[in-house]
Amino acid sequence: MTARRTLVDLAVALVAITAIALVLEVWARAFRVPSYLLPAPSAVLARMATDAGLLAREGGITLGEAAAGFVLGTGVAFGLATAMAWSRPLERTLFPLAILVKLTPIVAVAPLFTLWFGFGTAPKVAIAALITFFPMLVNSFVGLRSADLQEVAFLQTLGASGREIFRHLRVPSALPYLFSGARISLNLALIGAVIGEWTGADRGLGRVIFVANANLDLTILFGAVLVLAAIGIAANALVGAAERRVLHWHPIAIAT
Amino acid sequence: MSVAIALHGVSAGYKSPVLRDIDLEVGNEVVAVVGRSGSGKTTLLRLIAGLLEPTAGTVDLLGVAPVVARRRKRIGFVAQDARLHPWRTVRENVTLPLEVNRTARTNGHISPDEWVARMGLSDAIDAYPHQLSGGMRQRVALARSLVIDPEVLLMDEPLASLDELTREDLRDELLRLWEGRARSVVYVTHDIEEAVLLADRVVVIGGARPARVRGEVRIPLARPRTKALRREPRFHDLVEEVRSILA
Amino acid sequence: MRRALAVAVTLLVACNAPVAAPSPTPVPVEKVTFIAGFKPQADLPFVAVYVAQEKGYFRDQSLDVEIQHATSGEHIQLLATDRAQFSTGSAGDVMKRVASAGVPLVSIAQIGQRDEQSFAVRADSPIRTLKDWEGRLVGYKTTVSADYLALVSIGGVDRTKVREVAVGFDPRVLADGRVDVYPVFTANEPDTLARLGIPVRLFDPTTYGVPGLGLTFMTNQQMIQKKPEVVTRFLRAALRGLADAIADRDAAIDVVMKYATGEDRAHQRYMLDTEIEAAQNDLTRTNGIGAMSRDRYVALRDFLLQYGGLAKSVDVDAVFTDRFVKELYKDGRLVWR
Repeated sequence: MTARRTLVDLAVALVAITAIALVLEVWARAFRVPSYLLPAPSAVLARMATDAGLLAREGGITLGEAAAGFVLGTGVAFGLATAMAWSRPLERTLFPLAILVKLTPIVAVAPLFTLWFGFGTAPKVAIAALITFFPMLVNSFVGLRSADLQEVAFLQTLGASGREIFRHLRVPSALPYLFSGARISLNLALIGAVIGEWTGADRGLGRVIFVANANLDLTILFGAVLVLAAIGIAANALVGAAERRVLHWHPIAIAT
Repeated sequence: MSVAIALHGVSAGYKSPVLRDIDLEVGNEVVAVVGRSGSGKTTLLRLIAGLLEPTAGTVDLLGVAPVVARRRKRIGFVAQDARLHPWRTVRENVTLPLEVNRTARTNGHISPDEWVARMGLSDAIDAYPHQLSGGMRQRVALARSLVIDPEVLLMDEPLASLDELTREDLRDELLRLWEGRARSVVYVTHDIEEAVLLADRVVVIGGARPARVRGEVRIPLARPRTKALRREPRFHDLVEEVRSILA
Repeated sequence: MRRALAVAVTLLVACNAPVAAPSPTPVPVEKVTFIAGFKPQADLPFVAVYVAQEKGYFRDQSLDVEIQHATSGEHIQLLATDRAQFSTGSAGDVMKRVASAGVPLVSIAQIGQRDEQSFAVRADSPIRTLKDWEGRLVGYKTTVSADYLALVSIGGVDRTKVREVAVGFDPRVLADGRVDVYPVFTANEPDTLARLGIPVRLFDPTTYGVPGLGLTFMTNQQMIQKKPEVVTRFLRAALRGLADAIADRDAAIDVVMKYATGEDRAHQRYMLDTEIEAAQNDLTRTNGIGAMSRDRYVALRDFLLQYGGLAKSVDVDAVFTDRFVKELYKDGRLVWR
């Protein structure tokens, strides 16, 4: 039932996108808009077909950086959230630090990362992790804290240890929040990896976009952007599917 | 009759005192605690469970401090609105108390599946809480607090959120359950008739904050009890007695 | 005697002043936009415009000039769509745009008479010749440049032995040793690095015979075809501003600092000095600053083609025109009217 719903949604989206593309195509042709201002969608698609191998390879690289960064950022965020949920003094000390991280503009920090971590994948992964960190921290923390207090009391009357309460109650309670955080963070991680590639990379979709921009090669630029969008959509769909399975008991899942 | 729960001169509160100078002893019996809303009934239960420390006086549970009794898994607890774990099936929810604090040896020789059967929920044993009605959920809550076969059972208005007919059914259930095993039950309720029907003694808590024990009524009605009792004049007399203390 | 002195003084003054002509009939003021190709700084064509604006030369030429700065290359598109009328860009870049996408840009004055880029190594590094690049880390900014490939070829360097690394725009990578050879704008990063405590030595393509060219003023085909007199007026005022900047560099930097708030004054002065030096050669001494040479454009085009800087060939006459700069100078002096 929900799988069918997704397909219908996808179909509707495709129709809408095709309509927009058609309008753009007609516009570009009718007004003979030069390709360095607005490439006709047909030109973009043709270029994507020609450079399919390149786009797939570079897309894979950026995806790898984003995924690694997401895992790293989420891991650190969850660990920190656990500590913060455990002790209020820790919460009070760590939260302002987390906000400091959040407010640091990535674009300013990205070149520094390249300086510190070199030209390999490390700085891209670091940036993706950094950008993932805050949303996942907040979501983990709120999720862990959302554990029903009455249930905590119940487990305590059974003589359950703090660790058991964490494992049996807090973590499952946090799952819905973690999933909704993941939807946001996965896309952010992709953007983070792309920004990381702008400050010094020879691989990845970010680099393709960067070079394309310098050369005013808009067809491949939009092609790369479309591939990025496709990756983002696919990632979201995957998370959604996983969420529906794992959170089958959750009211939201039941309502949809 | 040995004393299972003993409170002597207990005062307790959070920011301001809620209870003052409480003396209460519970043996192998069912004690109902009645009082107006907010009179500290829940606080009393939390004190007994060791979830709250008294500001004065002592609390003993089975001869030891409540925290120790907890560690030995001797306490059963049922709250008003059963917050069953929504990610666990009925069976898994009832099994949960056996999964935590394994070092404490449990007396239970009745398996989770049997408890589910006793509650009449065998058909729903693989269902998730969101698929159950309120009454069914409370039955699961009962099953899971009994699965460890506790000597002390603390119940905080467990039927308050259910409709009248379901309440009646569950009251019968409780009366049946309490027939067998020797247990000390503290049953908090705001429903005086329910208290008289279920308990051996009704303790009234109230008065201006902080609340105190206002009085106590013995309920000498014979067991096993049925809801037919409600039609008898003795029943009403007892209810009036309790009511007069509350006023 | 006194009369002879007066005549001599008058003649002297007259020889040094721009040749004046009778005042013109009033011309309607034309609003144009100049968009510098990068952030506000002391690049010579930017300085020319800043000074011309400050001294009212544009006003004198019946022009109302709005000065903008590009942040990420959008000046090309703005100029191409005539949302801006004048901009700056290196001769090579203009050629690439015209060749690859037919962007209708035209260079109208050659300010930088030589290649504006070099390769820097730390002053204390053992790299002394091009051949020493083998076994080293050489950085490139966007893609491997034609200059680099030319130097590799000229120096007989085995490219397979060189590790080419994509670097960002932060020169600190040379400072902390992440690269050994770093591509720089000759007028810019060497000073930045020196201020970081890392003096550098430069491998300058010009010394190896690479026919590079630097910054130009550029406009679009539309302006050239429809409003050539506006182009002339703009260039006239800008070139006068440029002459003033050369004559009084401190005053010029004062004006620059009004636009380049927060920048280091000494660094801006370094930039200006270096670019002024790169703006002058035999051709400009005869024909004035901004003079253009078709031969050099052909040489640049062929060089870029050879080393992959141009995807396909381009007609140099579509890329530059020297008609404006030619009519503005007489005997090497700017004609002001």
